[in-house]
Amino acid sequence: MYKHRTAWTVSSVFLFAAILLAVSQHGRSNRIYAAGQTTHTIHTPEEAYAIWNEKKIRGRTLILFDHYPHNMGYYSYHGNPRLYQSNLVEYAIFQNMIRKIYFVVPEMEWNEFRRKEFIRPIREATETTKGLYLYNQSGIPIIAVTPASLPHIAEPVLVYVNTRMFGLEQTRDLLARNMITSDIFVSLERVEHE
Amino acid sequence: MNKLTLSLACLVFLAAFTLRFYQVDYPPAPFMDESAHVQAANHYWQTGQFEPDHWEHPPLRPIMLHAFLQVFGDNPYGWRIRNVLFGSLAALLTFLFALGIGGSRKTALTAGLLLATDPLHIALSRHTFCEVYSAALFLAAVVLFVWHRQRSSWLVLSAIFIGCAMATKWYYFPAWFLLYLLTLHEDNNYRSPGSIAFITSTYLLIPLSVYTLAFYPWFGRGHSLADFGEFVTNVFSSIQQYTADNYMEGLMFLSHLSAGDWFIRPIIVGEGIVGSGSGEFILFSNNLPVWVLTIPSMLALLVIAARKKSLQTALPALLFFGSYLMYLFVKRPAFLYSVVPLLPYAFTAIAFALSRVAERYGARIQYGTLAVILAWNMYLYPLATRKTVPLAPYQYILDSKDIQIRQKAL
Repeated sequence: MYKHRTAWTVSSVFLFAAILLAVSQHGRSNRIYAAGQTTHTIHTPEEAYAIWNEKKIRGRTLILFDHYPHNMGYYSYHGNPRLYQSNLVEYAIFQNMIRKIYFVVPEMEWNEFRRKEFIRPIREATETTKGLYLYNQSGIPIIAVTPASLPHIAEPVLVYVNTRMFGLEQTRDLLARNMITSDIFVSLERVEHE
Repeated sequence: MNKLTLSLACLVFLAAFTLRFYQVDYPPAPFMDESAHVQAANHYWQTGQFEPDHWEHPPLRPIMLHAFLQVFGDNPYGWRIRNVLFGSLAALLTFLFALGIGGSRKTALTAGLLLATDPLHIALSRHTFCEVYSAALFLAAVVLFVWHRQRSSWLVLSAIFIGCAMATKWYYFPAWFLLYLLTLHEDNNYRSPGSIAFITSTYLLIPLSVYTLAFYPWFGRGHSLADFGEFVTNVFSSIQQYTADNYMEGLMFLSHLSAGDWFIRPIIVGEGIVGSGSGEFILFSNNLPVWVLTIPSMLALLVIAARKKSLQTALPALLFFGSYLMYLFVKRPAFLYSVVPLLPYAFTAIAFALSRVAERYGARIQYGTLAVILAWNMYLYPLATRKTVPLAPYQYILDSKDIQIRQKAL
């Protein structure tokens, strides 16, 4: 018979609970939000990074109303990754500013989007009606959703809107309908060299 | 354990270590994924990010490599010494495993030496392949299980090693479950609620604790426990979708994708540079003249175990088939290096079969066979370790279409 089995059993349970609490606390303490709610109009994507950086945000969820982001991975850079006009999202991931992305695809483009070769769906996002987890090199969850399928997100999010693709009012309505709050709302009015 | 047994255990370890460590700093440049593994080790420790390695792999591997890089530096020793050490320990653990399940010293020595001198295990132990150390970690868990004899602390230690192995590769899930069931079955533990609670909490919660803890740097990116569940689900889904097309074109292991070939067909992949009459190569092969004995030996072991009504005797076969069936039916390609976790059980079964034959026909047959196998393994050793060899004695092996050979004056 095993000696001290009750003590070991209780210890295992406590150890497991303590580790869950520790990692959870570690994660929470590394999530940084901006004070208040601000809206910014920008003219190049890099400006969004400058705003996020200035607010020192970290470990955040981004709702991306834009084209599918540059997503080639660490090896696509020669040397250490640098910020370009086309890699805002990926660079912000590398800097641990973003930990999760909801990538919004216009309702009318959904079926075409699903057929595109450059996306590699991992699985259906079961909590939404039209949602797909997309493969990416960094492994963070990138969930493609239609506006109607965007779920409620409990934490304040970063919002990035390319106004050539989505109307600002339409975007704000959508967020309000889903009771999603944003501490930094960025709208891109014009993209050079797109 | 008496002095002779201890001496034999040391002999197995030293033989394995010497063969793995000798000129391990060659080549001085990173080989295959070594560069990515080293970058990922530092990257994960500092930022919690997996790149440039695959995010689907559990993260104890970059943590361990980071520790070795801190001790030995960012050089060939720092990159490879982890595998040298764990590869050598695997041979020692195979010896202890064979002994623990009732094998004689001769049987254990045979099993240990088969692993110590196996060309594929040596080749993989001299680079950063994660199969080598993850298999050694799991084998340590198995050995502790076999030797624990109702000692609680040994079972707890076994569970910690299971957690370490699982936090390196998911290969060990079926064998982990099997160990749990066997522990419940042993001494009728399943009849006692206290023992059930102890075994379940030990073999379930401790490995999960270790596994979760390995993600501590990842949680530092702001992740929550809900994110963790989502991430693990994504890992599982992503792994299911891997096909040969997802790997880098020209990857040498792509020529053989089925685990069904491992023990019945010759597999030789690798690369080399040849000059006039000589060359140096690194070949990854399944050493078929020895490995072909695996399945018959496993079946023989099962028959013996059934006659003796001994689960202990059947343990190598149970652990082997438990894992091998997963490889056979998994959707993703099964590259040759994934066989490493099976080798300790394969060689233990072969050693038991040889001992059985020796009981009937005399010990000389066991010593003779072992000598022939060791001689054959040593003949292949230079091909697994980039030693310069004359081409003529190896030409029939080097003619394999799956060896990428470059011409160069040596």
